[in-house]
Amino acid sequence: MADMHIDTDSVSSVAGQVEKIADAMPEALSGAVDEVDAVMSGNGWSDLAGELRRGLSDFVESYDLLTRQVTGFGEDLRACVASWNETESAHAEVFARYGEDL
Amino acid sequence: MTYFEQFYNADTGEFHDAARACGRAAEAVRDRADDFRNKVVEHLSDTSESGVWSGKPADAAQDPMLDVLAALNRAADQLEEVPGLLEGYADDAQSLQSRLHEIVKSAEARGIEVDTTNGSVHVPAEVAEKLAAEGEQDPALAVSQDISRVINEKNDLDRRVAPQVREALNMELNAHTVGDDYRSDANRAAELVEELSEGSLAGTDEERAELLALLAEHGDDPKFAGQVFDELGGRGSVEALSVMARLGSAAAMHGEDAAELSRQTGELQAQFGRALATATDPDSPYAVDVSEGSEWMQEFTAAGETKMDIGLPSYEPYGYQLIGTALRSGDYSSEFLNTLGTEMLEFERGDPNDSDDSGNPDAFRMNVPTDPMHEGFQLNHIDDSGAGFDPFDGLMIAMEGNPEAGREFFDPAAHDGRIEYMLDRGDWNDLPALHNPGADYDNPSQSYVLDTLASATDGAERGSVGNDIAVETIKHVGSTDGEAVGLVNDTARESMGQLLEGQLDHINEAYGPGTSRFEDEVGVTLNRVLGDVAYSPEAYGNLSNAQNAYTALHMNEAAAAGNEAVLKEHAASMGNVMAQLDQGKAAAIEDKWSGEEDDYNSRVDAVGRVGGYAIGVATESVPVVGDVTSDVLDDIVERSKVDYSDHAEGEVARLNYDSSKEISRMTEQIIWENGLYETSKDVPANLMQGGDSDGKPIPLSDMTDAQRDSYDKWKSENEKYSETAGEALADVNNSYKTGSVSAGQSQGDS
Repeated sequence: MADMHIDTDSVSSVAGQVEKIADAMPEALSGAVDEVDAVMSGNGWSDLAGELRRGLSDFVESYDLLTRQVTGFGEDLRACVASWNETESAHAEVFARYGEDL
Repeated sequence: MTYFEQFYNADTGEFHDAARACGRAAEAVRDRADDFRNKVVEHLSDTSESGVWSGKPADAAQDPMLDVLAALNRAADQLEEVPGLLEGYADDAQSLQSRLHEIVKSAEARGIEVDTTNGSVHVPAEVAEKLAAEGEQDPALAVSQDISRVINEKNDLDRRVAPQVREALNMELNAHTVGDDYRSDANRAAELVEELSEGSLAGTDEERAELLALLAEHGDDPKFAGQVFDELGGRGSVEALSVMARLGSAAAMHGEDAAELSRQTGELQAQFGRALATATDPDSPYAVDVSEGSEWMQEFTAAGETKMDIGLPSYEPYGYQLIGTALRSGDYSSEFLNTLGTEMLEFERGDPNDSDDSGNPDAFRMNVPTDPMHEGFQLNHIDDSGAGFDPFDGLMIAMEGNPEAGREFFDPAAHDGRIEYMLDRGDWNDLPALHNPGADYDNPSQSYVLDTLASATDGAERGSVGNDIAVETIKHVGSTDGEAVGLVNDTARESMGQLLEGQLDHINEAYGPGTSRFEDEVGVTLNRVLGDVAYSPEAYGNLSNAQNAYTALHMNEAAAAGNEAVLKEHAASMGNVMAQLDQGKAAAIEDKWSGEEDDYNSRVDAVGRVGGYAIGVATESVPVVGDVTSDVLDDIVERSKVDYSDHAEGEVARLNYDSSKEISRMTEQIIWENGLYETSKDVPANLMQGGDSDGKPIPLSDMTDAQRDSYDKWKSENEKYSETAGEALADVNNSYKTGSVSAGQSQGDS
C-alpha cells in the first residue's frame, strides 16, 4: 500500500460537506411542491395542472433516492477514513456498496 | 378535457405562479449540484501525490462521486426546463382565453346571447331575423363553432405541453443509471473506434455514421468525452486518428468516391477533435489527466513521436502529424496545448540547452508521401488550412483561439528563443502530396504563428507577458541580425499587421516624446517592421485605419481637456508612424508591383480606407474611451466607413505616399471642433451650430460649401487661429519628414 495516502482531516471535512449537501436537498424542492399544490389545487380548467403535480411528485421521489445516494456516499467516505489502516481489500469494498442499498 | 365554462373564467396566471415556484426550486437544486462539485469533487478528484488522498479507495470513489455529480446536474437541467414550459403555456392559454372573451363580446354586441356558465348560444327571434336580412343565416351555429375552435385549440395546447412537462420531470435520477447512460454511449464510441480499425476502409458506412452521431451528440459533454478518451487511453486516442487518416488515404485513391470519403473523414476528425478538447479540459472533473508526466499524456505524446500505420504501403505519418489535424477543431485548454506543444517542440527542436540533443529537425518536414500513387494525399480533411503534415499549424490554430495558451507558450521569460524558433521554422510547403507549389506560394505556417502571437498580445498592458511577447516578436521580425530570417513572408504580413494593431499604444509612444520599450529599436527595427508590413496593401489599409482611429481618439481626448501639447504629441507620433508605413508602401510599389500603384491602391481601398474626417465624426459618439485597442476601435472604424462615404468620399483617393496631408486635416478638424484655439476675430455665426455664436462649431465634415468658404476666409484672416493650428500642423509635417528620413535609412537597410 505504498502508493496510498490520505489527509484524514481533509477527507473528513469533505465528508461533512457531503452530509450538509444531503441534508439541504429535501428543502430544495419542498417549498416549490407546496406552492404548486396550493396554486393548482382549485384548477379545473387545465389538464396540465394535474400533470404538473404528478410530475413534481415523481421528481421528488427520484430526488429523494438521489439524496439517499449522496448520504450513502458521505457514509462511505466516513467509513473509508475510519478503516484506512485496514487491509487494502477492505477499502475497495467501501464504495462498491454504493447503489446496492437503495 | 376543458369545457367552456371552466376556461372562460380561468385564472391563467396560476401557471406563472407555478413557473416562479419551479424556477426557485431549480435554482436550489442547481446550488446543491454546484456545492457538490466545488466542495466535494474538487477536493476528492485529485488522487495524485499532492491530493488529499490516493490509492485504491480513492480510485474506487471516483465513479460513484462523478455519477452523483452527473445526476445532481441532470436534476437541475431537467427542472430548469419546467418554468419556461409553464410560462409559455400560461401565455398561450391567456391568448386563447382573450379570443374566447372577444367572441362572446362580439356576439353580444350583435344581440346574440351567450351563457357564460356553459357556453350555450341563443339568438332571439328578432335578432335572428335582422341578421338573416343582413345575410347571416345561422348566427348561433357560427358563434358556437368559433367557441369550439378555441376550446379545441386549448385542448391541443394541453396535449402538446403536458408530455413535455412529464418528460422534464420524469427523468431518471438514480446516479448509477445516469452514470451507466453516459458510460454506455462512451463505451459504444470507443468500441466503434476499435471496430473501424479492423476494416480495410475504416469500417462500414453504418459504423462510421454511428460513431459520428455519438460524437456529434455528446462530444461537448464532459462525462461522455472524458470516458471515451479514458477508455481509448493516450495511445489509443492517436490510433483512432490513424483510423481516420486511413479513411482519408482511401479518399485520395478512390476516384469518384474521393469527395464523399474526404467529407466523412473531415467530419470524423472535427468531431473527434471537439471531443478531445472536452476530454482534456482540466476544469472538468471527468477530464483525463493531461498534466505533464501523467500516464495518459505520456502515452499520448509517445504515440505522437511514433510513426503510425494508416494503411499505405510507403507512408506512415508521425502521431503528432495526426494530432495536428484534430487540433483544428475544438476549444482546447491552455494546460493541454502547452503540455502537448512543449513535447512536440522538444521532439523536433531538441533541447536548446543541451548540445547533444538536437531533436529531429526534419521529422515533419521530410515525412510526407513521395510515392506518385499517393499524389493528392493529405492528412487534414477538416478545412483548407493546409494539408496537415505540419502539426504546428494545428497547434497554432488551437492556440489562436485561446490567447492564454499562446501567452504561456510564447512567454519569453519562461521560454527563451521560442518565438524566434517558431517564426523561422516554417519555410516549407504544406500542400497535398506531390502538389507543386507555385512561384507565389508561401507556407501559411508563419501566418498561423503570427496569428497566435497577435491573439496572445492584443491590447497587452505595458510590462505584461503579452507586451513582452510583442516586443520580442517585433525585435526578431525587424532584426538586421544576419542569423535571423528577419522579415515575414507575404502571406504572413497581414497577421503581423494585426499584431501591430494590438500594440498601437506602445508603438505611438515609441515615436512620441519620453521613454519607451521600443526606444532602442525605433531607429531600425520598428521602422523595418512597419515598412515591411506595408508591402501588403491589406495590412497597410488596416493598420493605417487603426492608426487613424487611435490618433483621433487621443487627440479628441486631449482637445476636450484643452491640452494642446498632448494633442500635438499625438499628431506628431502619428506622422512618424505613417511615414514608416508610407515608405514601405513606396518601396513595395517600386519592388513588387513594378510601379503599378493602381493595383496596390485598389487593394487598399478594398479594405475600406477611412479618412481622418470620418474618424473624427465617429469618435464624437464615443463618450468614454478606454482601451483603444479593444472592440471600440473596430466599431469606430466600421462606422467611419459609413460616415466616410457620406461626408468625405474624395478621401478614398490615392495617398501619393504622403499621409501627412490627411493627418493635418484631422488635426485641424479636432482643433476646430473642440474650440482649442484663440480668436482674434469672432467666428462667423453661420459656422456655429444653431447659428449661436456661443454654441459648438459645426463639424468640418458637415459644412455646406458656403460654410466651408466662410470657414476658409475666417481662418485666413484670423492670425491667432492660424498660429495655433499652424504650429500643430507644422509639428505633424516635421515629424512626418523626420520619420521619412529615418524610414528611408532603416528600411533601406533591409
